[in-house]
Amino acid sequence: MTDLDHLLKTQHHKPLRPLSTNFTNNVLYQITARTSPPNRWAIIKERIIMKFIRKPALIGFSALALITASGTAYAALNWFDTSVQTTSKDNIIMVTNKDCPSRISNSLLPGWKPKSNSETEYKIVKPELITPDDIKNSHLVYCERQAIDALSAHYFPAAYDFASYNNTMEKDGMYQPFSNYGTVESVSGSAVTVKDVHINNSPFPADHQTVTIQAQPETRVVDRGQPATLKDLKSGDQVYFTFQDTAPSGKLDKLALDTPGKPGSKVLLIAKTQYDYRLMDKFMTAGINNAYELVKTNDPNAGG
Amino acid sequence: MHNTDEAELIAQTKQGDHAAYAELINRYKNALYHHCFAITRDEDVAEDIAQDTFITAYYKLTLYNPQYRLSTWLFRIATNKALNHFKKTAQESRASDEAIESVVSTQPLPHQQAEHTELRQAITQLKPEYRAVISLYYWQGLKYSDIAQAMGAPEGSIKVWMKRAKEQLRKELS
Repeated sequence: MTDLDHLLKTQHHKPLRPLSTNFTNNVLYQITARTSPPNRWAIIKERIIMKFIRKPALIGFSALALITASGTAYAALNWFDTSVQTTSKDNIIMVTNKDCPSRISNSLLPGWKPKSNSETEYKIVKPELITPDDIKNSHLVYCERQAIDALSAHYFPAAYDFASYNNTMEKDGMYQPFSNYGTVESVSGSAVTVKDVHINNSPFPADHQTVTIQAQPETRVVDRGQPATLKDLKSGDQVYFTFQDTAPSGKLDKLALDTPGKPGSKVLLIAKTQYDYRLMDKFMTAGINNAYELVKTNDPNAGG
Repeated sequence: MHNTDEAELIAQTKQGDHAAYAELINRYKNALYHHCFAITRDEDVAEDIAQDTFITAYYKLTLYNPQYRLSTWLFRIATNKALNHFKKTAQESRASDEAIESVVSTQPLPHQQAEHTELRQAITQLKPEYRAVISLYYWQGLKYSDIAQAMGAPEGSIKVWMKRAKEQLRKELS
């Protein structure tokens, strides 16, 4: 019956609405929110790398344990004062990290301390891809980010009480990804436009690397741990921001970054950073490209 | 035959290049969405499944056999997910007919010719597996051999399903 063939060919039963415009970004967001790239070897390497350039802090359900002071007193007392020194010999780099803030999500572990010291040794294999200074500064970025995460947990303890949520996410191979960084493009009223946005050290797709964050009345702005205001942010400043997602357990709010201010998503803290967080990208990319090898470490935060 | 460009994008994606994967998503997202809709008859569900398909594909990319088209592999994942969703929905409601009806009833009737509407309704009455075959063959332009890959069934079975689907459609439309 050719009529039926003709009907079927010509009357494609299309959906009544097109795909959401942010479909691709939503997929990438969810992929980025998980720890592993598809390549198994890359997974292993990334895990090694992430022991040192840590993933954004998991929601610190016990973070309150380390935070007893409040307000500026907390910031002044706890803002990181990390000392990172490197020595190198024959492409072997020893990084000595002193007083680096610990991951708040590890605070339930026995022997956990708010700050830790460590020595880590790398062997640079491809010096054209990574320098000793890059490695040193990557450690500083890491420590500063831990400090900002702890500060965010201090200001917004309720937002960090996500034990059951996180358990579900961990089962799904996800971890809390809701912290990002980028470069301030402009500030207008309570809106901050940030370009070159990265999440979990991966850039957003090229067509979506600029987002406008709508600060809420309760949003905190800090500069090196000290209270600041949006007016203190200038074009070109590097910022790291955390935001809360109250989507149901196991269901990431895929639109949180696309549509800041949408119900269920709010920006908690915008921190002007001291260091260039894009070094994270460089460090991780160098690791994936075998530009260096991890020789040894006694970092108490490594592992897990 | 997929082109080398696609092979390169796949290789880059395996290295964690999200921009490369974005390009692949953009190539196939509409086709997958339409196909999922053909099975589920629900735009929101279809979009969720299409999205889930790309996430699954990303994490299983190392299992992809480049002998076959990437699109065929994606259709296979999407079809499995859509059919599973359909079965789950039917199970949960404990009455698949009611489930189908409820899904259909959420769709506004198109202001189109009566014949078109009749065909749409007739297709809705098909088993989801038959709808998948119709979608892949008529609307996505796959060959029977590719549909067999996408459905994970022998080519002979696909032809039988198509025959039965068309018989049922003729009956409904007569």
